Amino acid sequence: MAFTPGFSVAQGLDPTSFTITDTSSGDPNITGRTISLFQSDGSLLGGSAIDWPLSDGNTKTLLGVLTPWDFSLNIMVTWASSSPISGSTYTANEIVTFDGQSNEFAYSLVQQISSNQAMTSITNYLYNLALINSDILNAQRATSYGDQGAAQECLNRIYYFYINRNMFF
Amino acid sequence: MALPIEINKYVQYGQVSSFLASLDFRKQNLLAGGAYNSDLPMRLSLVTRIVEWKYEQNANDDTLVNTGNYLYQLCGRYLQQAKLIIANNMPGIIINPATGAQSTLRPIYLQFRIGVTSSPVSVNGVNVTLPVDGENSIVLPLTYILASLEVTLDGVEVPQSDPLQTSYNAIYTNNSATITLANGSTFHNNDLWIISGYQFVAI
Repeated sequence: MAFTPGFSVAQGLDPTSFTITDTSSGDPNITGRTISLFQSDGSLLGGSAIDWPLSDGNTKTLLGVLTPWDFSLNIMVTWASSSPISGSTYTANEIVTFDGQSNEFAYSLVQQISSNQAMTSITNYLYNLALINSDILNAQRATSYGDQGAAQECLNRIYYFYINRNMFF
Repeated sequence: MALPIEINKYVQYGQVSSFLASLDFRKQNLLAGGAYNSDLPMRLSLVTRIVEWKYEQNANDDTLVNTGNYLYQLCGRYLQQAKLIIANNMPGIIINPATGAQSTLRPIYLQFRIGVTSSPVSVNGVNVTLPVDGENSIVLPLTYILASLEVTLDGVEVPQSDPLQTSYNAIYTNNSATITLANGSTFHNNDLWIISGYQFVAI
């Protein structure tokens, strides 16, 4: 039976972590797996591929890898197989944009407004929040069109607001 | 633990109120020759999306009580219309059950601050006498009010007949609706009250 590579990605409550689930099927000769997290500049997040032994099962949670901020990642999973020859590989990849930290930041600003509505009288508070909201949506739109670079730029703009939040909010 | 308010409903109200506000403000801006400006439609749109995100991430997050109430407050005058749109999903023929006459629904919106807002206040052409500090009821002398008035106190929805907090009972007749605060509660100076709903008007 032909091998069908595949995986899915999900994020829980911790916006710096995510879980990959192996959904591949069809080859009893798989001997190992690796996960590569390619950033928009082509470099590997963390510096190298992450080993994902078969003994770990079909899910792997990568804890705390999304630091200091959200990333748009080209995630590639590589399966090594002993067939047809030793060292054969299969790959699958997907661009995934993680926006948990950006959304948490936006939500914290809404929390501030709901606790003290006078906050929005600060010059451009609401306008800057709208820009952040817009960039979150645009990051996902760029991802759906396969533009990892544009998605990462959107996240970078939000990070700029975040690290300079005392100036903007 | 479940939250005391239904965030998913509030998000729906926010979604509908966003486009209602957008349309409304565009009309008002047109009438004002472009001079009318407000950020309410934008605020509704972005707060709705961000609260929805948090709700989907963690439906039991305690902070949703505050942010959800803020969203509810933003919906304000569009709330009743939003509820009708959500309930019906489309406009249809409306019959006043009391008269059998084909009707339209006219919004009722009364906002006042006890001891601050001058009484009476005209609502849909009818004078409504406002309560004073220490009183516990208000009469809306409007005909054929749809039995679905919503009451908020300082931006937070007031429940009906709840024995554990400030709540109210409403009595509807063909000529009026009387709202009486329950549990011995009374109106207090500076409290901001909003009463909204609809009345049948024959067409």
